[in-house]
Amino acid sequence: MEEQRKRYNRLKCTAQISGMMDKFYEDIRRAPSEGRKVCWCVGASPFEILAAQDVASFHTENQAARISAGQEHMYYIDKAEKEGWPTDTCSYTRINVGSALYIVEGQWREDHERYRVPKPDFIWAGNTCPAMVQWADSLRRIFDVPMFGVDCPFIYDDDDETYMKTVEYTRSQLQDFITFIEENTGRPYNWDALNNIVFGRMRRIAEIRAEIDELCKRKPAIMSAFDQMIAMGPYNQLRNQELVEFYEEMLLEIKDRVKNGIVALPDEKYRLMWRGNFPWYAVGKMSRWMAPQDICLATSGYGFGGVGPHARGLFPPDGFGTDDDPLTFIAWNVTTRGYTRTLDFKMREEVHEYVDGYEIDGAILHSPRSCRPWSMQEYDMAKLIEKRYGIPVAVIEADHTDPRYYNEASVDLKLQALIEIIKERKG
Amino acid sequence: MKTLSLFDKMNSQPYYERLEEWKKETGKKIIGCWGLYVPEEMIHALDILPVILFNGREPITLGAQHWQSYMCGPVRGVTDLACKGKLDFLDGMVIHDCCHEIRGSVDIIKLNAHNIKYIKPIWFPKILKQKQTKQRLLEELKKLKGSLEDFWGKEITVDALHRSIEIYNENSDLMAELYEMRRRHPGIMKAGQMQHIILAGMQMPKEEHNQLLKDLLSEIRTDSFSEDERVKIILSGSLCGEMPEEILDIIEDVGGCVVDDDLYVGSRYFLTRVSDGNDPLEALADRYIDMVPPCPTTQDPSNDLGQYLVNMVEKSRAGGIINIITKFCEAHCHIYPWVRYACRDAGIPELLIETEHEVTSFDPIKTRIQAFVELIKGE
Repeated sequence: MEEQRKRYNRLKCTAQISGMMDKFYEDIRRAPSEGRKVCWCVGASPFEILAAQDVASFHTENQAARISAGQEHMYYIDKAEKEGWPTDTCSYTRINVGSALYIVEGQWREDHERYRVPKPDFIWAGNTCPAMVQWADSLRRIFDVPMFGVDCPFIYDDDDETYMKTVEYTRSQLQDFITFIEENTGRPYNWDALNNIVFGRMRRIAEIRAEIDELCKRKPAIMSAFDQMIAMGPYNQLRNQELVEFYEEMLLEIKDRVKNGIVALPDEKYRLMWRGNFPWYAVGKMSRWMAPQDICLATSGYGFGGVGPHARGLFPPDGFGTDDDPLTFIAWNVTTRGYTRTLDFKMREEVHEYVDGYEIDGAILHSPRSCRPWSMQEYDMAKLIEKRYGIPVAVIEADHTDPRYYNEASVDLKLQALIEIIKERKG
Repeated sequence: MKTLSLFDKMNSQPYYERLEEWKKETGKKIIGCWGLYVPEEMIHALDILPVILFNGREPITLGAQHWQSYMCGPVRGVTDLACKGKLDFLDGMVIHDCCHEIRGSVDIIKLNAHNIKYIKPIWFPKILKQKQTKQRLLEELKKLKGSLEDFWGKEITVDALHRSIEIYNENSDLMAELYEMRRRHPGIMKAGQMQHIILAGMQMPKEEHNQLLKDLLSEIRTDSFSEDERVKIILSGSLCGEMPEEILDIIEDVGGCVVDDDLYVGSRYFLTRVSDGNDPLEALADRYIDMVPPCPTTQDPSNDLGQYLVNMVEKSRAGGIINIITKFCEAHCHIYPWVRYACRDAGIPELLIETEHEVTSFDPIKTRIQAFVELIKGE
């Protein structure tokens, strides 16, 4: 019975996140009454650009994940499906579109105030996943507001020339986005504010992130991937000073843990990595299943900041030879992530970092039914990981925010089998 | 009709077997085109036969080792054929990444189908009316041209490209003529037979297809057709795949007839002619940017699929639309509600059918189509 009570030792600072996010959404809700414009952001989004012009903006995926973590997803999914969105549409989309439909119909539930967002003045789409522009286009039609999309090419040729051309292409589109924002906010763009955010706050966060990353590689793990994934919420959208302060505090707490020998799981026996987005509705269940068995979910590319060359946010490891153009950094960050990269890139730059850097015993690849960018190629990736690194892999088929596709018995069975193989091998 | 039965006969054999035989007989090269918008003319200009690849009509076995069951039939099926070696007759593949699954299939096919020596993926902009779209698209087309030329050690000349565009345009015109005939006299052939004709054209030299179309057009005597009393239906969708012929037959069995379509193996394939100006590459870029049938894989607020289909219904005086979604096709999922709204606003009856590679029974589909046709009849 003693074993059953084991829990992950959560970072204390993560307890603030829920409050931070509530405050963030409260601020968005206040925006229209304060005369600030509202932008709904779909896909890879340049929050720096919007924050610098004081546009209240949020990530539609985050709103969906937040609703799902609050177990209220079906209310919105049902609405979208009733209106004709087939069940195979991305579940983030179905939740977000469901909420958009309730908003235009003036049918918002009073007890769902914490999920409410104001009508957008305009829409952003970062088309790393080709469905993003379609999703944003639906919002454009629902609200009858302007939309701006950035087309992000898939980088098939992994050479420097293609790569820099891609960044430049995205950059030129971002330049047009600045004009679009000027038109829609009715004032000249605030470049000083953008420089401050990118080269002040975001650079500092990149440094913090680099330090945290190194410390997280320790055995036993200082913090679990469950904490990392929760810490992603603010990183994905906030661009204020509070964000920097939060990560400063996180770094201090982690350093303190190192000093005092505090770890995520004192009896850590097995270290796992997670790839893919999370089934948000099942995160608690999963952590409660792992901890009593001394299984530490040590790393995940879906945590704050990203993985591989993108682990430092906007700042690529090798730089660009120029460090004064914020749009180039943002273009690089928006356009060159795993969504638009080959399997070879993902194996080389992402998987290798987890498996090698974190000394992983086994891998969980989440294959979300309604999210193709994460689920595609996972069977082949699993085979490559097993072959190259000799560690077992479990591909679990579920969904990020549609719990109807989460078969608990089947997931448990696959994870249990993974652990048995690891036990067998490690002795 | 002699020519029509020729198309039916071609369709009775798996396409990869037929093409393998063709290759042995002619000694010519073949490139498989996978994804919605591979510029076939460029391959044709190299004197190589471009063929559109489809999932086979056989069970998916090896493909299931690479794709989850909730990926679309065309992606799982083409991967399956490639992994089984059934596409080994191809001299190469050009893959247009119109969706994320097809993107993903590039690496999977490269990793698992070693006998296909040339695999070239291409990215085209998805947002069609941006300042940068055309320039970027031209760069992608030039890259493809350069890659094809390098691999086959042969230049794609401007003249050759013009000639290929001309041949493909002639095909578009002949198909458009046939479709116009069907709009006036839906009884000229079964919907399944129209699909055989288009499938054949996607997988044989266009010059030969053009000749067959001319023969067919001269064989069709429309004066023998009186006013068609059946319920006129329009079909839309079935992206990247052929329609299960059983469904086409069901529509006719329950008293309907297909009067026009917006199917991939249908008018979507031929409706956009290339306006051949001086620069053929530019003309190919314009064809994509100004495509006639609005495509769910691209975004262009000035070209709305719902409105397009409403217009098609009006033009052909059809009674309703059946939307065919290739199950798990996310692009189509996103656009479908807007087609539904457009039909509702225009008072056009509309039905959604999702088709899968693995169909256990057509009975439930028959019941729905029958009810749909009855509903239109009653109006």
